[in-house]
Amino acid sequence: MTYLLPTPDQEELLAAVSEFLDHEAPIERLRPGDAERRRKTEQDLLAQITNLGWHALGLPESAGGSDLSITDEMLFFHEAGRRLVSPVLLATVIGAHAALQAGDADLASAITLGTHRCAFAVETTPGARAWDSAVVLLDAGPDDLVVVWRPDGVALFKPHQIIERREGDGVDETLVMSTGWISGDPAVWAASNGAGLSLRTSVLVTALLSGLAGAVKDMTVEYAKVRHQFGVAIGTFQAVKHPCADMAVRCEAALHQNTFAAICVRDGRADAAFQTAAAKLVATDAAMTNASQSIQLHGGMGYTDECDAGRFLKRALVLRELAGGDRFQRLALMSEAGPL
Amino acid sequence: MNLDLSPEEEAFRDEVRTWLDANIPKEPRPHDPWQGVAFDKAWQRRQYDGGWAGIAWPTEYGGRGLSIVQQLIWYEEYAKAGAPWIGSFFVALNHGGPTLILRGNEEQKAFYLPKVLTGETNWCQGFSEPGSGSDLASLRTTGVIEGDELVVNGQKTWTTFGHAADFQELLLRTDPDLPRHKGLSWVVCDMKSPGITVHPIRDIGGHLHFAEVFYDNVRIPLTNVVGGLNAGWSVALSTLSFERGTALTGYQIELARDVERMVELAGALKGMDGRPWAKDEEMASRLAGLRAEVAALRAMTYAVISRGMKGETPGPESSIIALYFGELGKKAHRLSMDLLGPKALMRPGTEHDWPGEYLAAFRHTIAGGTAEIRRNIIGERVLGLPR
Repeated sequence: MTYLLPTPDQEELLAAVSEFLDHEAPIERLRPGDAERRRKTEQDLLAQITNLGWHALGLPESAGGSDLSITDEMLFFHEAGRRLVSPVLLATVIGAHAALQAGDADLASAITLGTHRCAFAVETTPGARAWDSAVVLLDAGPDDLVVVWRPDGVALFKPHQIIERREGDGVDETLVMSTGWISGDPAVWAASNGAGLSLRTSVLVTALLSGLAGAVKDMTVEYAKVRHQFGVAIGTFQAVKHPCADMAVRCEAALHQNTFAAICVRDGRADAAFQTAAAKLVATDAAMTNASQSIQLHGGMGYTDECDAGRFLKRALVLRELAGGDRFQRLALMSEAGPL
Repeated sequence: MNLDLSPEEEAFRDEVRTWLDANIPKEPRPHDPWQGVAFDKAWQRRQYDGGWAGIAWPTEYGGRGLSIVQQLIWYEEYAKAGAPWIGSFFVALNHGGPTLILRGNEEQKAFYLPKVLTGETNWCQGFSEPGSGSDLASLRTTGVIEGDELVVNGQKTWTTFGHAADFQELLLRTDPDLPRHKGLSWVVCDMKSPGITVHPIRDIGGHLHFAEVFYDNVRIPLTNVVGGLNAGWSVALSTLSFERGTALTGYQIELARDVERMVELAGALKGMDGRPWAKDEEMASRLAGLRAEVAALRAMTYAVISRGMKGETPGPESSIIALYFGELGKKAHRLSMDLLGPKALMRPGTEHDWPGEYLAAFRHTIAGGTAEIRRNIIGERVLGLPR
């Protein structure tokens, strides 16, 4: 039976996740202020989530997980994406999956328990094949394992393997962004054979983007209800109402295609790579366009550091580079066989 | 969450596929409106004989009463097999018929419904007027009671197949003292009644698919009023609770097939500079985008159907997928014209009519609710923005 909506069990989990994140991860925590305090707050949040075990939903019980599947992970990361939870959370999940797939159960458990933290590094050297590219690190502490996605697998590097690290002025000030260089072969290499870890990573990054698109839509709609000009709430005007409607349409497309892709990866369907590429492309468009429109609809306020709309846009810029940007997804869509 | 079919569902799919392969007409639907209607009636009759008439209608009214998943399978296989466009039976099967099922009395059901299933009669819709399109509730065609009849005067427009339909679902103003949608009645109009004049309207693609209909003292028995006098608005809306989104699947697959045809075209054709389109990055990028959006449309269709399975009646969020489909269809067909360039300047006789489909795509953000109205509905009734 074709069914694309959360089951009652999944809805129960989502309600708990949502309530927790609403309370512990309000968007205000990311507003400008003490960068050090923000860093600490986010680490505390991640520790809490780790304690609750939600990061390990899709890992087997033997590795400290809940033995659920990528569809459950997808639903969870959609919620995490709504609140702009640090990508470290996803890096941790992927790191654990990578260790497990490569046969290192101890490392997988250590990552799940929080003994070893993980963080993403995005390669910036075009056409990189050897392991020597420049990278941008996202919220990586000095002792964190570094997770690097490639189309054919996921690599884990020991912290010392990322050299010449320099903390910099990243486009997303809510993340600690630094540059560096990969040096040496991965400590762990989890190759993707078919629907493997590379696709899983992409599906879950897509979930972060999809959640982001939804949160920014909700924020903009709320603003349109309370901001008054010309004697009425600005949401009365079609020039504001219609872009909000378009945001809602993008969110629906992103959410349901993400779900479709997650099922395909879970079930090892032949079209998993195609559907995953479609999902990332659609969700990236939803996140980037919704955030851009949100800035516009907030008027002068949208152009300030105080307004959250800019934060959603900047995070979308970061997330879209994880697991292959738009060009990669389009090439994948044209190189895979069509859907019929 | 699941994309698989059960063994019973797979067996049903085989049954549908087998029947369709054996029974789809070999010749295409004629362009001529009257010949087209004759074709529609014959195809409906064949489906009736095969046990496939009224797939979503309850069995007590002669329908097949398929479950939601079975309907999904039927529509998917129907589209994949390239089965004929529903043509002039759309209103009868998906609108007029279901309205009678939900709100008609027993005599009306017994008289009208079987004749739809057998293909004997088709229907058209008399809702929109020149002065009442998006603002349908302002309609002015009147029905005045004289004895046991309504005397109807006025005009309808955009009546698809009005020139070749047996019956019409007609929305009239029967109480001019009640405001807007409150004084309306839904009646069955026999299109052969004296006083009815039909003028076909040539559409942008050159087809005579719809028409203006003029009513000059047309007499309609009061027994043709469905759901009671002045209940017309709620009767007209009642079909919204009938539809489960399964028919969307057919449209989605047709669009997917069109996009794949465009991918083939790009592989085969050269641009006017002599370079193969296959080497054009911009075209490849656009095609990739279309493939992604068509995939998302399919996922959204399944989500709509999943909501139906949960027992939810479609609400304003159905405007979301309708809007997405309409905009995507136009974008896709624009690409086909860009691929073909000057080759698209001549309408082909027998092959795939790309220019015709491009022009026809414009109706999907207009008919059945304009994109502007859909955005209003999404903004107001889904997002809660103020009117």
